[in-house]
Amino acid sequence: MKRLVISVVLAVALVIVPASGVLAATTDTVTVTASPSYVEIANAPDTWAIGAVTAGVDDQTANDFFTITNGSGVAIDITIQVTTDWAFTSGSNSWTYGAPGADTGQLKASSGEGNGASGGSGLFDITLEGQAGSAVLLINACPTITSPQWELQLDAPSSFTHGDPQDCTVTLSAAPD
Amino acid sequence: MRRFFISGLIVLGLVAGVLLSPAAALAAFGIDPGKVYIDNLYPGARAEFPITIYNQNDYEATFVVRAREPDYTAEDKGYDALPHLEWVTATPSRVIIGASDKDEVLVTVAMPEDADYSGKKSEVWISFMEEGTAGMIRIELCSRIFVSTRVEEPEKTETETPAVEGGGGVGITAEAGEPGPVPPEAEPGSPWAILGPVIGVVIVGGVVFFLVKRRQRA
Repeated sequence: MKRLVISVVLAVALVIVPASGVLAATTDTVTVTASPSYVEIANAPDTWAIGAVTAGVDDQTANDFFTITNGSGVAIDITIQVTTDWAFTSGSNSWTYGAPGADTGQLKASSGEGNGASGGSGLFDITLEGQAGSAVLLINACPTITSPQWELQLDAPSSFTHGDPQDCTVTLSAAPD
Repeated sequence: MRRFFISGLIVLGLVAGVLLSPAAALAAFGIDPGKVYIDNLYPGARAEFPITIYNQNDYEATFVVRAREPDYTAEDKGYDALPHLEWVTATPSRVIIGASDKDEVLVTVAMPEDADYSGKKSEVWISFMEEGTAGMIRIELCSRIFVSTRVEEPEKTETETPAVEGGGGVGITAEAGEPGPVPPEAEPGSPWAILGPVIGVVIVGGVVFFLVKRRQRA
């Protein structure tokens, strides 16, 4: 009888011990590794006052109109997007954001040739998507402590049905490369 | 003369107001770290870490913090956009920081118990924007969060042992430096998982055989 009890206890132990080894995998170590990478940018000027717009005539800032001050400790990428579409600042009618049409206009941007995303200053080869779209790359792998420059163009509406003044918001997003 | 003096003061005040307006200043702030790696995340586990916001302005500013989809991902390293933004929270989501001061937000990435997201590499961004800035051009800074989830073994059916709750006992190591190696996992594929029950069954079988034999002899 004694031998029987010992055998049963051994058998049960052999079943339980390895099972607990399997269950140990339900908890585990999650590692969080922070890579020191300070990110900081500023942009000036913070506004482009376009002024009176003529149907079908594109308006542009001067080349290198905007300057980004990159104080980051690592190389960064800077994307750009219209985050608030055209909206009237007085009156009651807003333009639509998009390729030029009736009361519809969009923005384009470019940056210096060495910035990786644009062909060069004054080319306006980056089309900004509206708030429903996605951000696009403006400057690629911007080195630390640099001051890249960029500019904007308005692809003006082809015609107007109203003269209500408009504005929109453009967001520059910086993240480590 | 008095009216002229008051008008002069008003004009002077307006000019000073424009010159000293925060919106006219070069608004700047910074964040650190810009990259965080979370490795071996698994269902029921959570990872927490702080991100510091540095208000470089000479005025008190409010910053809005949120998790968002990345504008781009480290595809060359196998990372796609994390399809579960609801796993990621930043607390608080609005932070008021004094001039030339800093503060922290706590970012939590919590994987639900029933998540089916084994062995994936994905990326999510934490966005920081200053609230109430004027002007057409706004600035957003982003921390890139890289999440790797543990490879889960398919459920084993050999043993009838009841499952034990995970209990959220997770060790979290926060360290500064380049991404380090992931620590070894807790032997989910131990040979004892199969060998143990087999030996147990053999022993039980042997005991039963011995008892039957003894009863037959008696």
